[in-house]
Amino acid sequence: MTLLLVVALPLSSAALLAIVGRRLGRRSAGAILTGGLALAFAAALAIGQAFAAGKTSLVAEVWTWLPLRGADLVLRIDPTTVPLLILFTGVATLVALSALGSLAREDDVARFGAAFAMTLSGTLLVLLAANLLLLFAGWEIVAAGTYLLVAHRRDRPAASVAAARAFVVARVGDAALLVAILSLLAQFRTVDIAEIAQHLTGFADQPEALARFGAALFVPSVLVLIAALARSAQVPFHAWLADATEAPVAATALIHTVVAAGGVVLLVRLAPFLHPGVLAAAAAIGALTAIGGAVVALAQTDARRLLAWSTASQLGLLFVAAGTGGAYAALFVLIAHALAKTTLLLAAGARGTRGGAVAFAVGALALAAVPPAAGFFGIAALAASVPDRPALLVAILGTVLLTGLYTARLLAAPRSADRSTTTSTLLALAPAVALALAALAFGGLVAGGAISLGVAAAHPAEPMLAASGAALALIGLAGGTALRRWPRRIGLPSRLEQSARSGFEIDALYRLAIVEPFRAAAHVLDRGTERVLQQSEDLVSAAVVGAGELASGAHRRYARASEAVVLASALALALYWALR
Amino acid sequence: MIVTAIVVVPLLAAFVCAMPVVSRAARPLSVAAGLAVAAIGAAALLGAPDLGAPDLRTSWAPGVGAGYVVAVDPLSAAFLMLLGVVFATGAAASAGVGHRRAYFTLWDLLLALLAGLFIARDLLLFFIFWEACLVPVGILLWAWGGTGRRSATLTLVTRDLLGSASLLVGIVSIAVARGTLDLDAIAARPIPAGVQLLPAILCLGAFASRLPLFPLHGWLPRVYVAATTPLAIVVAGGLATSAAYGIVRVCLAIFPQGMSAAAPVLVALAAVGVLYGALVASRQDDLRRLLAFMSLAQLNLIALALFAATATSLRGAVLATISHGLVIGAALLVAAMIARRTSSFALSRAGGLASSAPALAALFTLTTFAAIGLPGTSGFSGTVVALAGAYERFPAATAVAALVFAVAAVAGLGAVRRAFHGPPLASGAELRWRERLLVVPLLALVVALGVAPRALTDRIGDETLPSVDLGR
Amino acid sequence: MSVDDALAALPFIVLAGGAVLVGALARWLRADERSWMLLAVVVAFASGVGAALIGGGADGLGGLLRRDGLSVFVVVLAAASAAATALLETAHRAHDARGGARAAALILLCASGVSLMASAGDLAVAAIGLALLSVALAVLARPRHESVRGSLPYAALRRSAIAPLLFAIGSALILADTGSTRIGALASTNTVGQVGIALLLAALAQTMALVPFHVLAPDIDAGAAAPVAGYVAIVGRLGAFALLLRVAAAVTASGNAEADWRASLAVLAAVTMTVGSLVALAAPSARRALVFMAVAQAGVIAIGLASGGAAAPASAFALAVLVVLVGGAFAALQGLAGGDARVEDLRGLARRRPLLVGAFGVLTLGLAGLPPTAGFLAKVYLFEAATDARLAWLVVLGALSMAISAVCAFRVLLACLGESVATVPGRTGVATAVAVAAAALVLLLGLAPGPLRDAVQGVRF
Repeated sequence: MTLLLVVALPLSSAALLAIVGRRLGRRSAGAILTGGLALAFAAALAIGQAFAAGKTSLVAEVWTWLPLRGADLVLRIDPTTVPLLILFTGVATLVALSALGSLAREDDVARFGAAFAMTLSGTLLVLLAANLLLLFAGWEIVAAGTYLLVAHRRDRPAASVAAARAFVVARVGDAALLVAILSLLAQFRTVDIAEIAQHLTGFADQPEALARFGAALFVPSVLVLIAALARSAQVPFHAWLADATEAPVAATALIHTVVAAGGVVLLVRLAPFLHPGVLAAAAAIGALTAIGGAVVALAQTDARRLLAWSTASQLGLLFVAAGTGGAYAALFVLIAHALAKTTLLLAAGARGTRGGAVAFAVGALALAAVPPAAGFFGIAALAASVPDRPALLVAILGTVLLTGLYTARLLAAPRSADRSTTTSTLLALAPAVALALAALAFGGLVAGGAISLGVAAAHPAEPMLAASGAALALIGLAGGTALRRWPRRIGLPSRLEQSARSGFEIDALYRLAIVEPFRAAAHVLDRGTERVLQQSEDLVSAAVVGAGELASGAHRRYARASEAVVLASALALALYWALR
Repeated sequence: MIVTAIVVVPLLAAFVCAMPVVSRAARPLSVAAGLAVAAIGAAALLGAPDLGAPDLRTSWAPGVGAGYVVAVDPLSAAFLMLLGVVFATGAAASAGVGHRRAYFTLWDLLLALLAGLFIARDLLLFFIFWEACLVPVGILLWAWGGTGRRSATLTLVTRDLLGSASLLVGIVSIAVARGTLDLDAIAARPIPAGVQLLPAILCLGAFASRLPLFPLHGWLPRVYVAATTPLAIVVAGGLATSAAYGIVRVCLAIFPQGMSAAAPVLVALAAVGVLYGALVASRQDDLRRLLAFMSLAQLNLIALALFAATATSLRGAVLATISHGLVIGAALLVAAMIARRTSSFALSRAGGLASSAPALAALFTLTTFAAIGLPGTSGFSGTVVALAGAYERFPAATAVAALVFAVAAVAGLGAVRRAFHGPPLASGAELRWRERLLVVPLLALVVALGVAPRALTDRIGDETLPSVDLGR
Repeated sequence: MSVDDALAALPFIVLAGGAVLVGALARWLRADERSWMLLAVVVAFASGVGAALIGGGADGLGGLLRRDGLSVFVVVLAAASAAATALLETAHRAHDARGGARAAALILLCASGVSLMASAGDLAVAAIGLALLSVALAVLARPRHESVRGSLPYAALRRSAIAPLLFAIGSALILADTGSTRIGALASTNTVGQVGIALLLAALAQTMALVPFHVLAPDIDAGAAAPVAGYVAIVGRLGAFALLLRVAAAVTASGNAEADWRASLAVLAAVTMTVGSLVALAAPSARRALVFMAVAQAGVIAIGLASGGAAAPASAFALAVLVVLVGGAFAALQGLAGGDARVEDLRGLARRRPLLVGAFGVLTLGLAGLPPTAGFLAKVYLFEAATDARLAWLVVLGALSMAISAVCAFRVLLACLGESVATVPGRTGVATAVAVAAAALVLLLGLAPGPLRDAVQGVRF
């Protein structure tokens, strides 16, 4: 029941706001939004309590749904997902609170709230769905919610363009995920995640059968990876996240922490039946995005775009963790990043106040993985989880260094770089401060054993690695401070820096490889094929009528010679009969 | 006898509408006729007695072995419900139409013919309803249509007549081969597998051109543009539905092996059609043309599921067909509301409506989401179940068709952006209550089918669906 | 002269006698056109009822005249259409008293010719009937502006002589070959007989207005007023149909020429359907469109003739339906537009004359074989017979040309819609009544074909 409430509360908030929201005042709309989210958070905490008390699994069977085996409305939670559940509901509640403070007066709170709650409930579905199709539904709801959030400012053309772009990228991933699910369904005759996993473990002692499954699972695994990459803004789908900064600040915070983490959640949840080669690819792409994203972030001159690239980079680290099977590390880094990034985004608008400035600084340090913030412990766990993969280790440590560099630049950024206007300092500030505290304390609590992440670390943390990580972070920070100051260039060769700022031209590549061919194909089909088809339709009609005209004309022409025609025909008939 | 009432009630309504005295009551009467059909369909679906078994088996045209055999099974009932809802909505949306008596007479006549098509259990009877539909449709399109109505009517009528000719040849060949046209009797004594392909293709000729299967869709954009909004709704929710029903009831039921043999080609065409429709839709400026191509994409998806013919894909196809009727109907209504505010269906002349008409924006956004298959709407459940079923037999084609998720989103959201975003428009008044009442019931059904599709699909038993699984 | 002889000859005697009576009385009596027409109605009606009551039985005059299901069927149809045409003419009032009497006499004369052809057991009798029919039709159908008092329509007469001439030559060749002109004994043994049969076929194809012989058909370019035009389109086909069935029976019985006979008819049917429907589609005037749709329908009936004996009832069914359809459609057209109106001129009539346009719509759509009219069932019966006879290609072609015909029907029907610009003939009571009755009959037969179907079961050869 509690489990159902966690999803149902945000969802009903969204529905309520969508249907009657415009009749409500700003205040009551806000109350419905935050109330729903806070109650969901409370329910999540209750679940956490239950799991801490020793529960190992919780299932809520709601109703039947699609006429496919296993595709019912069933929610299931296991120890791994509990921390994420608490994190997502908690962060969303705090962000929603701050949104009430930061949204401009004329903004439509109800509309924003509906999209916000919808996005969150979609993410929770991805997290809790017991079967692949419900997960897919959640996945899609997140995409639609993100679209609505980014497109919130309707008078800004850039916002709607960015929103449509984000949605289409998401939809490419969705299509891939759907095909993957269909393929799994065709192979296993069910979409229940646990059943499929069980099915596979049933063959654990038969290497041949496993190998066969492995080959059959390759294509769906690749498709799942594509979906995850698209959602988490990894190479080559990374561009949409930077564009999505058109959304209001609160929405950006939700997108960066909750929405974009969806890809990692997907990989972690489906890891039991993903092809090992694909997992390795995920780690490699993650490493690439981590380094590349950090470099691009370093080259940015706009604080919010910098943060977007930073998110892509940090999610790359998560992919490394998920790809190498380090669920513990993945969870740790995910939570650490979510807390740090939300703090930064929320506090950015309140930097004018002292509390805001401090929270911002704390968030920045947490992002840079400076001890004792959670990021530090996360990096340590991550580095420890790839002991036999030196390349990945180098990438992780390199990312830490680069993160230090750009965090220093961020701290030096002028405060006017942020666009949003704060209407209520207290509402905007309090969540940021709370998150900052959490970012500071969380790592220590987990490392100290006060909080369990549901899974144990596969490898014990190595002090040497942790120390070198911390050292690199500090070096980066120091180096960044020493670099030339915001917003001037960071000192790379001019062309290279230009290229880095625009994401290494991958955006142009994307346009060249996908957008333009798509447009061209649509154009050719519309102006070419469709027109030809329409003309041939007319041609067929014209041909029939023309044949009639022809026959009619011939008829008129022979009208004078009609007797001759008849006699000739009779003669022909007689000849046929005579000569047969 | 109550089955026959499905045809008789709208016929009576048509008759009453033709009377001069009741001209004012024609519209409510037509709405009521539509609702009555929907109600009987719902009653049959919920398992009312006396509706399932064929009633009134009379030999009607001896010689070719045709009889008057009508029955309502869950499949018919589901489509009848859609038909009734669509016609009631269309009639309600026909306020202020000219020549009311003639219009509503033809309207109810069309309803009666389409309803008859869904209950006919005899091929010749089916064909009579099938071809006779064209007369009211043609007249409604020609006499009440807008720009381009002539070429639209000509194209629609010509293609449909050619298709019907092919169907008739197929039916005659069955009559000669079997001596009866009673569907149950034919099913009881199947046609040999080796000779099924040709008659199957002949019958399919009619269904494919009315559905329409790519590339036979030339009439579709013309009719959507030329027809009045209510008629376009009916074309989407009635005519296309009748074609989908025909494929299930005639082609798949009588020629399972023939359809199976032709399936690879047909499925490939349908998959291409899905992407084609979605791609072309993304380039349209006229909102009705855009919807026509979105509709084409969905209809080809339905065709894909029908041709794959697994039990799951057929259920999905039924769901998707109903969803298509409701969603495209709602979208056409909303499009007309947009056009009323911008005095044009051109998207390039719209824009900024969101600020002045937020409810309109919300409705259109929801409709678009349903059209591109967002969870919680029938578009999602129909599409996913249909694709899941089709994937079992034709993974490659289905995977290609699944790309529609991305491509249709481009088209749909492009329309939302161009109509609603941007600087506010002065003339964009907010929705009136009457306009809301038209669209909201459709969307409520869309959501209901999205959340609880099994309320419908569980009632359609395996025995009513001619799936290939049965033969295995 | 035995009773059987008298009974077999009775329809012809009544009709021909009526024609002579009208012609002769008009010399002496002064009466208006309407009286003559009513007299013709009475005569035609009497002969039809008489023929129906007498029914089948023994042959008369030593086998010269047959009295079987086929002859009864055709005579009743011919008499009924003559009566309906004369009735319509009373309302039409296109003639003066003299012209009226002449038209009435000609209508009866045509019917008498058909009755001879229908009951002919001998090629000679058939030739006489054909000659009577052709000449009477030619005079009846000639354009009104040519009917200047006193001038004989030489051109029309010359054209009308061709069919009887071909028939007579054919008969003579057969006589030379087999030594008999009895249709029952018609069996070709050598080339001369074969050519004779071919010429018979050519003559009958011309009377039935099958393409390419239709160019001489009197209804194609006739300027006759609508009711007569409808009659002209029907009556020749009735006689030719009966004779074709009889000749086919003989040819089939003789065995060796059956394949050729069926092939010839199949080709004629294919060409007729195709050309008829295509020309109808492009026809500028509504009357011409109707005429060519009827040509296409005759082609469909020819499918039945090509399909052998088992298809005879189906063909007869189609023929009966065609009579109702054509007669009704021409009556409706007369009420709508009078003379030779262009299709565009029909615009707006649907609002001025909704009932008439409704009936017209049903009849034209029926002529194109659209359900739920009897025209559709006729088509289905014929197609079924043809498929049974392994003429599937003909069925495909027939279905396609009927689709084109249907487009044409839609074109004519949709042309009646729109805002009113047309001028409507003043009094249309009788035309409306006939058209509505025909439309109702066609719909009724479409929904309950049983009675007619049973009635034509006797038509065999």
